[in-house]
Amino acid sequence: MTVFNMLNIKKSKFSKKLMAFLGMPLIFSVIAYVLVYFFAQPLISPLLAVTNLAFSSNAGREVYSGKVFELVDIKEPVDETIPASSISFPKYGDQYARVCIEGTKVDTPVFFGDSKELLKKGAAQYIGSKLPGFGGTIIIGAHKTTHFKDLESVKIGDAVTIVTSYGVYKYTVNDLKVVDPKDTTAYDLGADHENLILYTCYPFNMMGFSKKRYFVYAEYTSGPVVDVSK
Amino acid sequence: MKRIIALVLTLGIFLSLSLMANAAGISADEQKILDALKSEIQLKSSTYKLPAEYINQVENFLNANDLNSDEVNQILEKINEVKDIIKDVNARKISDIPSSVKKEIISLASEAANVVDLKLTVKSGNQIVITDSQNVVVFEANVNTSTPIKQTDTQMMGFVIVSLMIVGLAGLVVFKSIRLRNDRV
Repeated sequence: MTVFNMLNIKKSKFSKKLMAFLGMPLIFSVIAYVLVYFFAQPLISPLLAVTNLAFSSNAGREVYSGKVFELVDIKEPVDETIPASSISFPKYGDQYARVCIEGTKVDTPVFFGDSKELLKKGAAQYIGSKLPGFGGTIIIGAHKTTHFKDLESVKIGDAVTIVTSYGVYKYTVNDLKVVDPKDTTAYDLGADHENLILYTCYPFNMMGFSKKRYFVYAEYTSGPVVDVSK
Repeated sequence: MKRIIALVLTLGIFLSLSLMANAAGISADEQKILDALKSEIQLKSSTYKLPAEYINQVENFLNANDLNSDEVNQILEKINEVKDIIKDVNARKISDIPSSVKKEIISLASEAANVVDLKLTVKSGNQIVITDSQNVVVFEANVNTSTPIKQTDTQMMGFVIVSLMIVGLAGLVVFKSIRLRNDRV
C-alpha cells in the first residue's frame, strides 16, 4: 500500500466521521424541522400565538383582530357624492372590500394594510394609498400563486370592480407593465385623480424570489365620490 | 348608586367609542395639519417635501378619527417645532441632519402622536410604526427601504425545493454509505 493510498484511507475515515457526527445530525435536524413545519404547524401556531400574546410587550393590551365589512350589493354603480361621515373607515387588518376583474379568475377580498399575514388572506392595500372614492392612487397587491394568480390574463380595456361597504367602483385597465419594485416613478401616490394599481410578483411561473413586479394600471370609470369635508 | 355610576360610565364609553367609529371626514381644523405637513421645508441648498405616502397615512387617520381644535393646535405646535429645528440645522440635504437632531425630531413626533393617544415606536433604527390604543397600525414608514410595493411571491416553493434537495442529498449519503459497507463485505 502506497503512502498516497494510506492518506486516502485516512481522509476517507475523517470524512466519514465528519458526516456521522456533524453532517447526518445536521441533515436530519433540517429534515425534522421541515416535517414539523409542514405537518405540525397548524397545531403549533395557536400555541405560539398564545405564548406570544402572554409574553410580548403588548401582554394585557387589547389586540385588534380585524373585522369584515358588510359590502353593498353588486349593482350598476351610480355616480354620486357621499359624505365621508356616512362611511365607516377601515382599520389596519379590516377586510373592507372585494376586487374582481372581468374575464379573469381574480375575485378576492381586499384588506386594509399589506403585512405578510394579510397578503396570505387576500389582496392587501398599502395604507399610504387612498381608499376608493377618495380621488387618489389606490395600490393593492396579492400573491402571484394565489389571489392574483390570474393577473397575467388581464388585458387593456378590462373592467375592474371594487365593491366596498359604501359603494361599487369601476375602473378600466389602461396599462400593463413589468417594473422594479423600487422604481418610484412607476406610481404617483400624490396624484389628484383616482387611479388603481394592482400588482403581483413577476415572472408568474418562476419559483422563489422575484425581483420584478407586474403592474396593472386602471383608471377610474364610475363609483360614488367621497366628500371628505362633510 | 354604584350601579348608576357604572351604568353612566359604560354608556359614556360606549358613546365615545361609537362616536369614534362613525367619525370621518376632515374638518377645517384637521386640514391645517395636512397643510402643515404638505408645506415645503427650506434647507440650505434645496427644499424638502414629506413623501405623499406619509401624508396619505395621516389623511387616512384623520378621515377615520375626529380631532378637536385643542388636539389639532398641540399637533401643529409640534410640527412647527420640527420645522424650526430642521431650519436651524441648516443642512444641505435631509440625510445630512445629525442623528442627535433626528432623535429630537422623533421625540417631538412621538409627543404629537401621544396627543391623540397614539404610540410611536422606532424598530431596528429605520422603521417607524405608530399604533393606536388597540395596537392597530395607523402609520408605518421605513426610512431607508420604504416602498409601498411588497414581496408577493410565495417563499414556500423555494422552501419546498430546498427541502427536497436536502432530503435527496441525505438519501444519496445513506445510499453511498450502504454501498461502501457492501463493498467491504
